[in-house]
Amino acid sequence: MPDPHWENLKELFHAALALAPEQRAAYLDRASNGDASLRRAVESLLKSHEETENFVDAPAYQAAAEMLVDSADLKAGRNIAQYRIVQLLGEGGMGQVYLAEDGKLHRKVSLKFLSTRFTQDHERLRRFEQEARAASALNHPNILTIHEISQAEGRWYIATEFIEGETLRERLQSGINIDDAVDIAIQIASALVAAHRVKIVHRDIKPENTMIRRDDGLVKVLDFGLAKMAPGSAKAEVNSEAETRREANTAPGVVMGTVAYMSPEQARGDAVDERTDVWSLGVVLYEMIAGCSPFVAGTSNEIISGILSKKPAPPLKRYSRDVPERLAEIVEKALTKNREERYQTSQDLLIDLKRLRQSQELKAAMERGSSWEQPGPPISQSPSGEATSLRPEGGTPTVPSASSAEYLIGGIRRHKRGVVIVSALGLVALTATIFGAIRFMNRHQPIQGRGHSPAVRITRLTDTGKATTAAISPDGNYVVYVREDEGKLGLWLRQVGSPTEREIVPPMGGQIRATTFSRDGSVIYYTASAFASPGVLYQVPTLGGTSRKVLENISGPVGLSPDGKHLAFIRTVEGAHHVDSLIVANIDGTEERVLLRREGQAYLDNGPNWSPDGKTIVCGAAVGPDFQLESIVVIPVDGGPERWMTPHRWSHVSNTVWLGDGSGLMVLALENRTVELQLWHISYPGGEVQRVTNDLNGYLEGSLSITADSSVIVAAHEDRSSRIWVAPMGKEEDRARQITAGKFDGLNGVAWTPDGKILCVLKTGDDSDIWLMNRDGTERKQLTADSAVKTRPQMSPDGRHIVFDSVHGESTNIWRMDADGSNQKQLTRGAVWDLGPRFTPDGQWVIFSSWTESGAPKMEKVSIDGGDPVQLTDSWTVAPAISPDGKLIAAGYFDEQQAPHLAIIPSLGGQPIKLLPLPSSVVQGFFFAWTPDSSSLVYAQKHNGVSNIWGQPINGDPPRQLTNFKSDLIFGFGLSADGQQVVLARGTETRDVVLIRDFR
Amino acid sequence: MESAAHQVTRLLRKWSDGDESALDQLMPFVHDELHRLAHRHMRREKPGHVLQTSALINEAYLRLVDQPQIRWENRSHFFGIAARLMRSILVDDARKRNSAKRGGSLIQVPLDEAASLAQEQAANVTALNEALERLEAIDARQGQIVELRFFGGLSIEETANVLQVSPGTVMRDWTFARAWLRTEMTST
Repeated sequence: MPDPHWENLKELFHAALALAPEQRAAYLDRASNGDASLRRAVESLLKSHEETENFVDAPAYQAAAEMLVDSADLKAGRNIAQYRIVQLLGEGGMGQVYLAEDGKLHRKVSLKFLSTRFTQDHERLRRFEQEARAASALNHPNILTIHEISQAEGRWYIATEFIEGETLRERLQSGINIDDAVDIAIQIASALVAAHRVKIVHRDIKPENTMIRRDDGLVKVLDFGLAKMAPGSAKAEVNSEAETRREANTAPGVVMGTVAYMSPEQARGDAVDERTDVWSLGVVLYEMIAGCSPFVAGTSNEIISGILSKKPAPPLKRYSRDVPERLAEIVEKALTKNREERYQTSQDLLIDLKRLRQSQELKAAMERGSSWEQPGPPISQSPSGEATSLRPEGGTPTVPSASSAEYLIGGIRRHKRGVVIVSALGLVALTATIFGAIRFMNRHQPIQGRGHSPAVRITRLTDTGKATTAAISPDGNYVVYVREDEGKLGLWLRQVGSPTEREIVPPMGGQIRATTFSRDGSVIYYTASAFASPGVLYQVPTLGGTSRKVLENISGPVGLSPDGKHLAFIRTVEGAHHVDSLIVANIDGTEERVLLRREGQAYLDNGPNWSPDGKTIVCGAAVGPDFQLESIVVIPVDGGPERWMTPHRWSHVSNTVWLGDGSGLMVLALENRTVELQLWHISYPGGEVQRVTNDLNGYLEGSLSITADSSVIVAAHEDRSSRIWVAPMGKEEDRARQITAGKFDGLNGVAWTPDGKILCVLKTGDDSDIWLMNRDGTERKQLTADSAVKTRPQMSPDGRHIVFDSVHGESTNIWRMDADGSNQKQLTRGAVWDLGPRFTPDGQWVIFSSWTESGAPKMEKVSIDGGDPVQLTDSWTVAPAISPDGKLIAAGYFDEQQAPHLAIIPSLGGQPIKLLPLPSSVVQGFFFAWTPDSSSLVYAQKHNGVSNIWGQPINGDPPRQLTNFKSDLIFGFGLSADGQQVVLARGTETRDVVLIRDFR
Repeated sequence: MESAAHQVTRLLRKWSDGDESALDQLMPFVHDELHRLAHRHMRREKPGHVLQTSALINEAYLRLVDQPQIRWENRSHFFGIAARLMRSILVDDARKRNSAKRGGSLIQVPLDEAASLAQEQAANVTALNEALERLEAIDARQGQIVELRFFGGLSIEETANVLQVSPGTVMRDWTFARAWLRTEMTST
């Protein structure tokens, strides 16, 4: 029985509908008969009717069929292609996602089915496929791997690796501490770097697109290259700002989530590039720390307005006081609205984040490490990655994960030339050898000209060969020096004129950069630091006692005022905005005052020095406008403009000492285009320059000091010698043959030619040239004869070409010449250093490591005919060597713990597919050779001061010793084509303290 | 073994003769066939082509039913079944989508925070279904009309045929039902 009320309602509705709209009210007045609720019901039905145009009629009606297809409810157990559906995981913007099992490969996968709405547009589908295939080529641990893009049963799907974990969005709900936030950001940035390298921009970085694996916290970025294909942005890759806003308004639910991570250029509808991803990662990082996104607002439109306005995001400090200054700066730079001023590459952002993490870890380690009233500086990590503790019996030795490699980069960035010497200090074994690669390239005879001033007397004070820096007491009775034993540094005091010496600061890890006696000689100041961290100034009584911290954050040696009451030193703020400050303080470290600030490239050298009258301080400094060379600047202590002391320019000025009468300076400095620091005299105020020493070997950075009466100078001096040997592989040392008798033979490179001759670099007179000789040293032929420094020559497999790296101007690049030395041609340009060229077996490519000032060295290759180099890795890789079968490249590498490894990388580049641990004592630079069967790698390794050749099978078996030398170091080597013989540059390297007299 | 067409025809006949259990047996046939056809259409249709539900059902009918054996009324019955099926498929699907959206799955996948178009529709379908259930309780014929028109994609005439009423009646009821459903859905 029909409800009478209902029938009444229908009747009134239809009757009213039949009338003209203006007549309806009057009709209803009458017909409703005073029933107000009935009347209201009819009115609202009429109103609804007016609005029903499409309602129920069309959209859902059409969609029904599509939904029928998409929803085809894949039941567990159903098979599609080789996949067996396990369960529905969820619904994404582009379709449904299932957990499935790959029946062929027996692994779990995620299957994402694309909605038909999406795949019906063939053009869009084509672009999607193209993009997705490019993205699927990305092979990076932080990028979700795409296994397959295909279709089955009429439906397109993407099969990806399956990650068990949570999205960053979910993780955000439980709060993330700063260290974890930085770590997650580093992983996302790593993913971006890999994608940007192949020109894939993600466009939609956000917490929803970031998964964190439950087991190990590994971060995976999803949907690379797919964002622009997603519905909403599919109709046009570039939306205008108006469109963006319209979408935001009309579909608040749809766009809201993405709007917060949109870069200003995206919101404006401009074309985007990798800097858009940098911005979005900045937003994500901000949100992880602050708990909300930077332009948080009630509506999408307000968020967009915030993004587009000139006003920057509120500072992070507002949300958390614990945010390190540096982190706030990094986020600020990533969130710079003008993309020209933002991080220009994800790589730059990644590097800053990694540096930040490292310095945080070091800080934490140092805070845990020791109370500073105890003798000795902080614990640190030896560059080999082994933990070393200052006091074996006490404290809480910890292992900060200092990256010696990155320390080096930092050093290089700061003082391109200076680092060559700086690094020698306290950087033991491995690090020294990495940098050995650098100094190697430059090793060059001192410039032509005078030798020593005839009267100069140089005598050796120590004979252990292990001194790295030194200072003499003002009365000339004592010399304090830093001695390196088994990778650790200790401070030793020696009485001049007596063989007795004693340890005053026990060996420790890290560095001791400089030593200075107080004016009365009772106290020694020394600057010590862990790797990559700023130095700390300590003082210790000359005759032994407890070390006490004086001040922190100091870059090199201190200079003392003539009255002994004040200190002068350099403080460096590293990072994107490099600042050096010359600071004066009381002798106890209090009352710091900045005397001079220099920014960017206009750096100051370490080791400021007070004039005898106390009125000025001198210091090495880079000279504008291009800041490629340095000179000495005189800074008045009481203010006033600084001025240059001399028009002379050097590559690098190390430290200086004043002559007691104020008539001039003695300086350790590096003449342009040489690599050895020599002693110079500069008159004052005349500024005339004269070189005092012209040794074949040089002096060590910051090691210069002088007695009060200016009669004796002390410095640490390095002496090396090397000769070329040919030896059969095996343990018969007596079968090794020395084939040259020079002093620096092969230091700059030795190699075999395909036909069994020796290619090497020899020093003849002032020049360093490439030579060819028989394996017994006969029939020597000089191939080059020009002044450019050439290192690491290699001959092509067909014997037609020789490649080498060579210094021209400020950069080192890869060069090629014909086998007879003619037709030199530069193959690479641009980078700071392109080093260590090696031929691919087909002779078509030359692979090498490329160092830039801003980043880690990467592996590249360049065609033998030149052209643009191709980057092969984006991780820290040096000294690449390609296997004889052409399939693999081995390179030096540091793992997460900064332990040295051999990385095995596919010859087309990418991530290491295998890492083999290397001993920390790989000698004299990473350099590797493959055995002819491509099964093992060969390198030189130092043990107890003796180098031998070792072989490491790539299957991971333990390394085997292949030569049996009982003495000397190996500076370089090459393996013959049959793998039976090795050519070696062998010799000695010592560093000792020398006394220099009669230098004026 | 009895052919599918035979079976469907027999079941249709049974159902039109008042055997309700025949409907339950009919459902799987129609369901599978509809899915299969929908897929095939999607694969071969040109971009922009909208797949009409009624066309799909019609094709399913032609394929499933042993034609010479069947009375004209069976076709109407078939459309009635198909519409009901379509409704249950779409509503189930919509429920699933809605629950997935709420994070009902075990392990999260890259769920875009924003609802997809399908999800919006899913929400609409669910709401519509609930309103339709209320309408059916008040006025069964109007409920049927909506089911046939909206879920079955039938025209006014086809609907009139299925229900054996005049097209004018269908039109009137349809107009009212639309207005009522909309009022119902916007006021709750």
